[in-house]
Amino acid sequence: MFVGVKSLHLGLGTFSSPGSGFMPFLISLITFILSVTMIAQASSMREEVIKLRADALWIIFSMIIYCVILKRVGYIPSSLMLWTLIFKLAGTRSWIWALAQGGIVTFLSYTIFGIILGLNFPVGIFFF
Amino acid sequence: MDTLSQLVVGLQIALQPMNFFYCFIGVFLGTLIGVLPGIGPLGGIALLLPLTYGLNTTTAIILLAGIFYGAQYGGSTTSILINIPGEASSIVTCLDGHQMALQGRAGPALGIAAFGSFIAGTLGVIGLMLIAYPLSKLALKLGPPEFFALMTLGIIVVTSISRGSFLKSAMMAAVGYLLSFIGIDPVEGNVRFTFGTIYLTSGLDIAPLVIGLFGISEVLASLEETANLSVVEMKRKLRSFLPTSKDWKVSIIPIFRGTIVGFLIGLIPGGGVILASFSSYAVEKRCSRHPEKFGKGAIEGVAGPESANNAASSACFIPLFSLGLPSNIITAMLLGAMMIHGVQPGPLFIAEHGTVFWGVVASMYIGNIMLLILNLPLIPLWVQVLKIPRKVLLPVILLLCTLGSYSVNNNILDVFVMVLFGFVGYVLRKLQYEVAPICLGFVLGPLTENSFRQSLIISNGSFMVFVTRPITAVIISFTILLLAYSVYRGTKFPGFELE
Repeated sequence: MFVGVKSLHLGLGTFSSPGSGFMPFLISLITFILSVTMIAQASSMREEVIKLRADALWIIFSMIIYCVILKRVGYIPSSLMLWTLIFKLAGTRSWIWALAQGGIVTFLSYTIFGIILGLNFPVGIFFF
Repeated sequence: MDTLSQLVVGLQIALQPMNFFYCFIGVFLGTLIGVLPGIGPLGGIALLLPLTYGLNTTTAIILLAGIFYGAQYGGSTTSILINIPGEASSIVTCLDGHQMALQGRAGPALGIAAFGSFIAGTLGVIGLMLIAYPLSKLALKLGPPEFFALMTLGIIVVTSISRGSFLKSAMMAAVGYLLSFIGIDPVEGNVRFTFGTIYLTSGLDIAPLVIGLFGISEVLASLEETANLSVVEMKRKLRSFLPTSKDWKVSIIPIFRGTIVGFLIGLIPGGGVILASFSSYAVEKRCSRHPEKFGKGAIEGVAGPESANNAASSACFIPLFSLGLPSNIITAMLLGAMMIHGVQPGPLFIAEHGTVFWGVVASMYIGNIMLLILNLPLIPLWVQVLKIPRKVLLPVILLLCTLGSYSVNNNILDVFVMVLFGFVGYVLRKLQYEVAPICLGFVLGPLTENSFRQSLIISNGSFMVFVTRPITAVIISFTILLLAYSVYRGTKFPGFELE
């Protein structure tokens, strides 16, 4: 519905000269019809609860934090924190071992992608 | 110049050290991606796409195409040895391939899969070479209404054959279309759905979207599988991989039949490697004098589908190169990659970029030979790769996804988009929605919109343009019939479910 309303603002044009909003409006209309059909179908079905895993949500959350801090903190410190946490969440038992794995991954990724392949990683306040 | 001399020129291009090297890298990484359950060629291409920006167009397409057909080879290894398809097109190979492995015949199963793939892949490339050019000449006579009809047919076929509910798949395709509208309108130049941000003005990039929906969501879903993969033990001598003369006698006809089935399905808009392998399995079972042996270790059940998916992977390039139409999600990704490299596939592609076309075609011959030579001796290596613990593999895949997205524009917002779509993909998987139609809708969105608007402009606003032109009318009629049938059936396109 949101896309449909926005499309109207963009202008539908005419059939002989369709405007910018014409196609988005058409697709939003199809999406609306599909949604209504699905809601109608769902109302006659048994309610199912979908469980999302806590570690999956932690990974998403930590990656969002990574996106926020990367520019300020710099690639190496923020990546070290992220990959240590992710190795731990993926099943590594001790924090020390996860830190070691995170360190190796950060070092290798910086060397291969940053130095050899020339990707521009943010340097941040620590200048690395 | 005739086809043969064009091919010689293509071979000269493909054999240049740089192209030869990247062809090798492409097929090697493709096989690795095929072996590893989860990533798939689409995620692999999305991951490596940013790294091709510095390469010239021919080299980049050689690399990306190599990943696609290389993955078809690699997928069978995982299916046979651990009963988990490394790639979706190898799902059917699990049925008989893994049974053969359990009976101590993993070597012949892997061997026939490799030889069948080679024969079908090579014949498929010959078909590509012979059909693509005449078809592109024919395509010059097609106008926007025909292209609109073909693209609509493609999206309806993909939606119909997706796993699960048709309604859910249709919804996902529509979401893909809606996402494709973000950015500047290609006809009038108006900015759409950007919420005033500069980042969205040029639209969403395909790489972070695909990496998120496929790569990240796969990693998150894999967290639920705590056990490491259990690999069937096998002899590692090269001779043990060679099929016996009896195996060859039983398999040779299914290989050629699979090649024909796969090639024809690869040509259809919406058809692809998955549909090809399933269809080939159904055909082999129907043609066999001993259908009761299928599912219990019949070598024909490996030879046919493995040949079919390779033939289809070559045939898929025909509509892409000749018409500019991606017939499945992977070729849609390749279309995006080609456009990023400044090449517009379509009727004029072969005429204007002959060196790219013939270079890629010739590289496919070379790539198929490389795969045959490399694959059998490297099987012990792939077995070791499969033994890497999940707790190490998953973070490494996540790292590659992050770097792949970041390297698109050296912009952390691309990583944010990837994470966002990773979460969306994870939730959609949980709700049993297919994410593949989102990607196809996303790539086809701008092309469909352009051809639809152009059709209406040339017909002065009359929708009869889609009915009065014969080719358009036939395609639209078929699309409507397929749509009606899919809606009637409620869930799935018939004939491709395993019994």
